[in-house]
Amino acid sequence: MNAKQTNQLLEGYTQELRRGVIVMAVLSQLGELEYGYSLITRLAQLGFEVDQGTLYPLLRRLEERGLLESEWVVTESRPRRYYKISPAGEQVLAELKKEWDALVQTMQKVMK
Amino acid sequence: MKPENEFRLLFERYAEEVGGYLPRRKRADIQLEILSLLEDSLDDLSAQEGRPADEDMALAVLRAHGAPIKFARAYRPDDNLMRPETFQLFKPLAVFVGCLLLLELLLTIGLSVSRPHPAWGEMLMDWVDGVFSALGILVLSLAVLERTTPAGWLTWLFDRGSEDWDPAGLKKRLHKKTVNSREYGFEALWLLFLIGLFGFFPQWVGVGGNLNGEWSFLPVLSENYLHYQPWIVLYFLGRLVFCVSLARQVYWDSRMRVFQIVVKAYGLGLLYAMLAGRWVIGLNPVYIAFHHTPLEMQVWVESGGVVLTIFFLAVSLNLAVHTVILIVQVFRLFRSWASEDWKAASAN
Repeated sequence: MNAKQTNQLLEGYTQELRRGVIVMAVLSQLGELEYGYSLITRLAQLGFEVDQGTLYPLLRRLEERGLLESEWVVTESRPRRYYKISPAGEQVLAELKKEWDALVQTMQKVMK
Repeated sequence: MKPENEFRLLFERYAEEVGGYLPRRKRADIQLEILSLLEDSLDDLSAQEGRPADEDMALAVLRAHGAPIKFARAYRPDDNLMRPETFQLFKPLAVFVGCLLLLELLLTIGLSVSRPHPAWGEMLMDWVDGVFSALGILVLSLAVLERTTPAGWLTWLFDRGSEDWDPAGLKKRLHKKTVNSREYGFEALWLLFLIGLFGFFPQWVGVGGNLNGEWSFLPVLSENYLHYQPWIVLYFLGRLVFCVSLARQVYWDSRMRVFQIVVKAYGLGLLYAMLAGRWVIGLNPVYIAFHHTPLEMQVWVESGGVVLTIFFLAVSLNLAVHTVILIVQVFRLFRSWASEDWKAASAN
């Protein structure tokens, strides 16, 4: 296998890894009302780059599943849709955190 | 027009094009959100560049978001016409429809050969048109049924409940002979077709052709068929229940063997009765004349008398062979029961 194929594989697997944690990352940052673009900026500052084309549809899907609540705020310079984690989302996030901690410990043992 | 108004128009146009790919229910809401996203992105870029926003920046923002259809696709990740589960039902149905279409093609070729100047090109185009129509209707019907029926109804035959699957069931059939569910599912579909045809439209079973520009059709089954019709439909129903049960169970056991033997014995008995009793095939001179069949077709049918004789001989031979097979199956079933009883007695 050449370097280009290896890089393509690596890119694909990296994307899958990130896809696996994005829901947890998003839920964890929505304890307060945030709109999509500010969430992207905050996650980028924390080192988690998310594409706008990925985040906005994800916010909609999480809201459809009851994990987020949203409202339009029209008092600012332009109308924006703000999102906040719902009680159901908080429950799911708490469980995901436990799963994540257990997974990290397991992987640390596996990777030794 | 102020530059920011021009950018807004550009962004509104983009949001409108994205919205064209979205469901109507959510369209306006998502478009508004996309608009605020684009404007926020532009403000951010302008702050990074340290200069007021201009058209190049606006275009760069749009370029970064990609084509409208690409953006919209992220909002509809499950946008398939048919789910994978339903596709499992589509495959045998498509094969079944394909067989019927092939049969139609063979019949059409056969009838065309008898004509002095057959229009092969037109015939082939009509057939291809029919293939596309049939498969298209099948796909659309399944897509509609999938969206309007309760979950699991369509795939009941193949899906034995993946949510409550119990691995202990594997142990039960560890030493049993398994079957290919799809084969029996396919036979079940064929039996449904036969029940419909022989049960409700027996007059459609016949031969037809285009003679001197006029379409003629001669039903093959005589009025005597009506005496046997309920018993024939009952046989098909019995066989249908057997195929569905076996397809769901996936393996052979004594119960299925008995079921198969009973249905087969009934079918053979019925065939014996039909061969020995009044004929159900009506291709004789009186019958043909009764249906005002054109002379050319009469000649054609009467010249097929040898074919009919061979057909009846083949049926009789088939009947004899299947009777022997049935006797062997019954013998084997009793032998397996006897050996199980012997093993149970030995264990005690």
